[in-house]
Amino acid sequence: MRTATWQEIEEFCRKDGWLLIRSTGHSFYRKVLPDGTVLETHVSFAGQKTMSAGRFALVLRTQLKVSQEDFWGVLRTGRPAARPSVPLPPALSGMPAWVAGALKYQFGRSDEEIAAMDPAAAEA
Amino acid sequence: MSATVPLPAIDFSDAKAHLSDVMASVVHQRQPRLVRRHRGKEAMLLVPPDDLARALRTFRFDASVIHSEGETTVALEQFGVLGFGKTLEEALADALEELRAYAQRYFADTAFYAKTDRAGHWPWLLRLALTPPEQQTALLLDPPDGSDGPTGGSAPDVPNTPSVPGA
Repeated sequence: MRTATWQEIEEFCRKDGWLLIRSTGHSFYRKVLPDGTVLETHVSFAGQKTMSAGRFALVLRTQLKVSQEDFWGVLRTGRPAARPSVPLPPALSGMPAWVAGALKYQFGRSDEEIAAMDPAAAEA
Repeated sequence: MSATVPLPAIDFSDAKAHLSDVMASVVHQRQPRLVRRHRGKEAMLLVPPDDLARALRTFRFDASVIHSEGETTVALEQFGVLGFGKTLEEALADALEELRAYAQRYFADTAFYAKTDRAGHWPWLLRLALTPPEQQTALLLDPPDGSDGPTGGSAPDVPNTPSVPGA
């Protein structure tokens, strides 16, 4: 799966009609959907380095609320995505932060060891 | 606001004239006070911040950690907040910085957010704002009620993260 750079995320926001807001010393993009849903993402990640597939899926699902196909479509056409945009990337199987924190700070496990664990098994 | 609210209430003009006494009763006697004006059509509640923070403890941040290709992401999906890093510490610190920035803009423009799907974020963000900066990382690692960790035991000694002015 091709993943995006942070520059492409910002380009998407501009083409998808997000507003750049500089507020309380923190710049971020905001888009308000017709149903009142507020989408926000920050823009401090300038860079041409692509992100991992998991991180890209999280950004699409959690912040941009857009399917992968529509994300690239917006970049290609320059026109905002129709919403709701489906399918959003599926939820990733994450580990509860309290479990990861306990494994690391209480039991001394490394990030690599925690990353290799099955989230459900780690919690059990 | 009904006149039968079972809270000590005071009219705005009286509260203004006796603000020192009102504050003393709220802070020292931990007595919530309702201040009303326009015949009770408008009201505000005065309450000690510590008591409010205690009341908000059930508003737990449901953070998750996702590992992918050597990257660590801390996700607070309900708030649309993501924290990025190579390690858990970096991702937690970034998520906390994002959450603080969100709380700052939320309380700077509460009237806007109150009309959106984010209106319900208020108690969680208020809990964050009322928590000392050095204890805020622990909010992201807070286990559900009755859980002490993967094999029980005391709460982990979590690293502190830098505070954001005004958070």
